[in-house]
Amino acid sequence: MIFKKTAACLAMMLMSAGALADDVVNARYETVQCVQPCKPEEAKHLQWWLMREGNQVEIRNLYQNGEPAHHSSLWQKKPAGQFSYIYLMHDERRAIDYADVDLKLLSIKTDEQFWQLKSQLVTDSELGSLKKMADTETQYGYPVEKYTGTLGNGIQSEVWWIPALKLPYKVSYTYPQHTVSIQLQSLQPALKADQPVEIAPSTSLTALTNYQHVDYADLGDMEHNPSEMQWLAKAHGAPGLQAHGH
Amino acid sequence: MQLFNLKRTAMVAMLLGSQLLSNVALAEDAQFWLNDGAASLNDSKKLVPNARKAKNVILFVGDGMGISTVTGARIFEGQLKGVDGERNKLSFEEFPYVALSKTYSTNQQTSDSAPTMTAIISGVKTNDGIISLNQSVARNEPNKNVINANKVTTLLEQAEQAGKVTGVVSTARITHATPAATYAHISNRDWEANANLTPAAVSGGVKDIAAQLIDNFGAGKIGDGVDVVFGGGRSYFLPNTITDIEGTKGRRTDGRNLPQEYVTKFGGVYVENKTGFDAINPATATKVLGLFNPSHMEYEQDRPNDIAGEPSLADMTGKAIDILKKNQNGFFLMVEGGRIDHASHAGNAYRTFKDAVALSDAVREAVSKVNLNDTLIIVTADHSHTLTIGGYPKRGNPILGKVVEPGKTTPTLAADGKPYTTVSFANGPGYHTNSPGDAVYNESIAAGRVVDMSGVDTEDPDFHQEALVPLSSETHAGEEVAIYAIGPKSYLVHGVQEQSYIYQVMKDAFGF
Repeated sequence: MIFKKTAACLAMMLMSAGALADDVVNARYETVQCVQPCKPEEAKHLQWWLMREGNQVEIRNLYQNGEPAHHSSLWQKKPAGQFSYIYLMHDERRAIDYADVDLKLLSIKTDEQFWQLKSQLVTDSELGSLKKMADTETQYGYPVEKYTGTLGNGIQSEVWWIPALKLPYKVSYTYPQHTVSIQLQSLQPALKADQPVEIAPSTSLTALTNYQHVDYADLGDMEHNPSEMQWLAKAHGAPGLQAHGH
Repeated sequence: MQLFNLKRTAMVAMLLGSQLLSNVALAEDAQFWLNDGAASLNDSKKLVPNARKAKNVILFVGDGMGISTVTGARIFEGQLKGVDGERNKLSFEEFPYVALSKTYSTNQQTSDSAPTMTAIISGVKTNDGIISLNQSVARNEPNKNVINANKVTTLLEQAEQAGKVTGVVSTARITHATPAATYAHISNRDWEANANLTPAAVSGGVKDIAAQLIDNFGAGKIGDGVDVVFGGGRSYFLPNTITDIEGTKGRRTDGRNLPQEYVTKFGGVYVENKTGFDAINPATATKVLGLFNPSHMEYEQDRPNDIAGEPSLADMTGKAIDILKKNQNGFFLMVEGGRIDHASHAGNAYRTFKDAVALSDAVREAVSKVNLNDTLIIVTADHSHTLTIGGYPKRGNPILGKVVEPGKTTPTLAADGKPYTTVSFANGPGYHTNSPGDAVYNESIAAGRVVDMSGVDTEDPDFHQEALVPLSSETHAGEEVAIYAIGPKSYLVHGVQEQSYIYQVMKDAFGF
């Protein structure tokens, strides 16, 4: 379900840049993973949207390695520090709901760091551990700052950061055996008047209500049911349902 | 009538916990074991079958509570209390009569909760996923006439028709398979709200499980309504135009507000949280519906963190009995520890055991509130899980810890040179490692031997035990489960029985 947010985007353009971090932000990215030495034809590509509004962020995959991908991850930050997660399968119009304890039992540690990772891709502490460079540029009408350094277990990292939106314009990670780059390709709201308005495929509340919902805790009793197995087999990326190793 | 010693012992042991056992454990020697066995034999010889009819029947179901889970929970409870875990007993392990229940369904060697609870509550075994219909009905049958023609009568329905009051309590959704089987009849256990029905089922006039709690009872139907209903699943009873107190929208698309209908039709009250639950006066309450979570209630371990506050299974059991026992004709109550099963599916033994202990606490609460001369209490499980207790850990070794053998102080190492836990699962998601970051690659299920657990706290509530066969979700197991019984006609619980036999004992106890 795709709902136009054009009106909302236009309204947002009139607001001050400092307030935008908490309001509706829709950003389309492409993630590219490449084993070193990188052969472009062997790189893995994933196009996806990050659609953030208040205490909710939806990550919707569009294409994975050239093939259409039709699922979303919907994270909601609730009162009292709890989180909920919904895995959405748009073609099947199905949703798998995860309670806070389900995430915990899947070793998905939900805290403020986790929320920042989901809602802004780079956490405040990660950004703080990188060195801010003198380089600046402007993208989509927003000032962009550059940060470099190492994150995690010595991963060489570069972040081009849009402070007004608390989102990266670009991130690149260099691992020992491969590289990962995340590049912004479309942004709402964009402060540039000539920026084309792209429709963000966010899942509306109406659509969410009309999907068939299943609690993750119930899947254990469903996995031998042939009719349920058909759509469960398509739930690629749903936490707790992967069966392959790497 | 003189109470026989075993019953008195059972009462004292349950009320005092295992304090007596801790003293005994310190003085173990050959004579201790001889004395202990002789005392048990002496008590056993004094067993006098209570052949009277039962005024009340309480059925406890530990969903997925296989015998290894009972053993583990017993030790877990004892160790938490700082007493001898092995000598500890859960409350229902003090009951004098025990049998084994064969849990296979008509088409499954290892079954699920729907046909197993159907067998327990109606005396009829059936197919997978079927709720209180006979085995001639295919799963997903959409025709209400076929469904109606093949219903099997449940003990709750019989109790209602006999003028008794009834109750259904669960930590799972009230529309989930086990509680649903007591009051609903449907060809797919997943049809909990109308939004879950297939188009064919809607066209065929099938009513969803939540609706049946209201529509199957009352004038012209069965009895006057289930008198006490406590559990989860609020969103399945509310329309999608309503957002509940925890910020969750209802799931119904037919506009029906079933809690409101319960109140209107049966003259009851509806509560949604611990505050509302505590405000119920059992001296005056007659019909109560309490739905304490949009979906399943919290695991016992997590209950303190619930946003709106939830009563415990023991709380709900105690209040249900206080409300029901006012009726001079007696009552039938079903209480389910519904999330023992879920914790095992997740490969998390800590929550499996803790929820089993919560069921034991609920049984203890029930025993304290009834007269065992006229109340039959049965405790059983619908099916087992693949939780296993292995290795040769020394006496008193933490049940959730790594195996440390007698005379040793460091963990025993497996053939791969790494320690292993006493408890593991035969299949399931296995041991989890933390997922660092959010890359394109997905994390795998970690079956088999994954990491060296030497530095890992395996007693942590969130630890997942290792599993052999990699599966997204651990499965049920097919071996027998136990049946524990006390009270009138409890002596009929003996031997190795079909699961459907349990209904016969309860029915005979009521004199139906």
